Amino acid sequence: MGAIEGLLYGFSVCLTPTNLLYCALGVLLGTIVGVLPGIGPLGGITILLPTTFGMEPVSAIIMLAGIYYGAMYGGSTTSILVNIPGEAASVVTCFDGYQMARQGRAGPALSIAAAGSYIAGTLSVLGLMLLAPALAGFALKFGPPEQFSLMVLGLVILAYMGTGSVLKALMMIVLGLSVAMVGIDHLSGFTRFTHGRVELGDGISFLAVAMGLFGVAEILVNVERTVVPEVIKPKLSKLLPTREDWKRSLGPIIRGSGVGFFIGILPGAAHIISTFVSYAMEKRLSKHPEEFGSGRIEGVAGPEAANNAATGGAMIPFLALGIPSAPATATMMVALLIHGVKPGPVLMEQHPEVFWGLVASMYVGNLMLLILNLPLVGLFINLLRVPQHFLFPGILLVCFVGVYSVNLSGTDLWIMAISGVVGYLLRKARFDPAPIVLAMVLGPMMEQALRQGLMMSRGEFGIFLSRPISATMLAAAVLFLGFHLVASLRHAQARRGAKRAESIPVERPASL
Amino acid sequence: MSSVVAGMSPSAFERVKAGSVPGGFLLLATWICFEALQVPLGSFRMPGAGFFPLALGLALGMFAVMLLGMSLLSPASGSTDAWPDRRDGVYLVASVVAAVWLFERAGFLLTMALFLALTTRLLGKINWLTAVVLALVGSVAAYVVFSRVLLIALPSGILPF
Repeated sequence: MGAIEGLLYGFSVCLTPTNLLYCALGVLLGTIVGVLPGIGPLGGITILLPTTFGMEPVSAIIMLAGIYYGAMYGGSTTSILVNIPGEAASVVTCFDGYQMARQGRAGPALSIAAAGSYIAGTLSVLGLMLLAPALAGFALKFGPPEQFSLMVLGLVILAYMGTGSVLKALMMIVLGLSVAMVGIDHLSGFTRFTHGRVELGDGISFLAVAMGLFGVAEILVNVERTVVPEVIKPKLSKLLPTREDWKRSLGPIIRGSGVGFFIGILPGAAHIISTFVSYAMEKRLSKHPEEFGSGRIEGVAGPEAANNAATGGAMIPFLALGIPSAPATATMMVALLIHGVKPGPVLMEQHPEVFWGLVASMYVGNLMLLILNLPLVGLFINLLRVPQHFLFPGILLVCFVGVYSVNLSGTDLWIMAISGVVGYLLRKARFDPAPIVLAMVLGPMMEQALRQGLMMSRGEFGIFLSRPISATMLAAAVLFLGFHLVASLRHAQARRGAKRAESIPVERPASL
Repeated sequence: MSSVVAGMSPSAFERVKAGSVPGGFLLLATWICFEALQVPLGSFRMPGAGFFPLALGLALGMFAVMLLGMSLLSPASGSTDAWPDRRDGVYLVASVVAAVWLFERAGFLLTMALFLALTTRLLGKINWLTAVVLALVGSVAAYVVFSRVLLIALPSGILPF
């Protein structure tokens, strides 16, 4: 099926009343998730995942994707009006967006953020539509060694591109892979780490861990913060940007779309990184870089376009290779697997309705967001006024129902509670638990690929280095780690130098 | 909380504090290796069930040792975030644990009514009567939506529904 033919087929799937409803519901819930500080797209998708179990696979993925890119839209609203990023990818929008709002230009800032997100979202879907089939065709050549090396590379990039320490990210990855080892080993039939508990035979529930880490733990962290937001109310009559605003924003939107899309393909905190890269790029290209941070519209347009384009980019490895590059897409992959649909190179042939239906829904969903976001901005902002003591118990109740409903198991509830406490403690120790979720999904695939690769080569590790694609990916992984090591050593050396300079007593000239 | 344990110098205390997190991971890595050795490791030609978990345990141990070294060399870099002097978090965890324990025993409706009353009162500092009324309304509404509308099977516990 060609791209145009596929897209038309996708529209026929997406434009049915049921799927349109789920798309609208997804973007609406996503916007709410984005507006509420503390619950990011990952938490939103995880908490709402169980509600999709009764749906058709295509409806489920349409709704979950809607939550994903809807959250990107919603996050910008609170950044601009309250100076509180709804989610991490909207931090940069605070810099100039909030300043614009303080100058009485909240309307143009919101409009440009919405329009930029729409344009970027649409362009990234175009990229997804063109790149994913080509990549899927290429991935058909992958055997177990290539799959293993690709996952190693993906996890190394995830650690390298993360927001904190690379070492801590690697530890979280190994922890996630280890959690995935619990249960029956499907190649040999032995049970591992279960201590005879039958209910752990099928492994630790992904959903229980994810809800614990991103539902319960987020609430525990947020309980400590008592923030009373000061909301700037935009006047709807002053919502539209001027011609000058459009002129200044168009370039940043196009550049932000490109940056976001390509960074989005890479594993890691792509949404966050793409916004910073876009902001830095616009500042460098500007004739007035000194004005950035004081209300330049380019500082809103570029990063907002970038974080939305990154969602389209992130879909590529997940749909075309069956290997998610980000925790949010890993959760979506679990949703598809629960429905019996395996993402990967053959997805487009075996389930064209899922792939093309999703692509078409992203066009439609982005348009819905543009129509919804501006008129309903007042309503969304009012969500910030819902007291925490109603919001948090309500979210916890949904977590309870969501986790229990999957296996009707009390053990899963215990796993959720334990994961919640562990997630809270990890945050306190400055570990980002997001890689655990991705590693849990990749763990069984990675183990199988490694063992099959070794069996193919009769125990020779050289198979991973003798096949060109696999060797290239492993070399790239080593390079990333090498870069990081060199940079860390230089940093430590510079710090030692600075300390030494501080400790040397300054000799005063004799004449003074 | 006092930052220095009796009989311990401030720098020694900082080092112990900084080493506690990697130390915990080191223990976890040891346990993973121990558990991996309880199932056949196999060989490189035919890797067994313990092969990959053992490799993961060793990798986690190696990373934990690296983090321990870094934390001991500069305790500030490996330190943890501040622990605010608020008990709400502890009470919330206790409420969640109690709700998990009760969920299948007492049933969804009763457990969630108790849980909502306790947590709204705890977090909102509202009076008990308001908390109980809101909790009853909330839990019944949630029961209707999840059990009757979305047809999710929820435990009835000691209640007949």
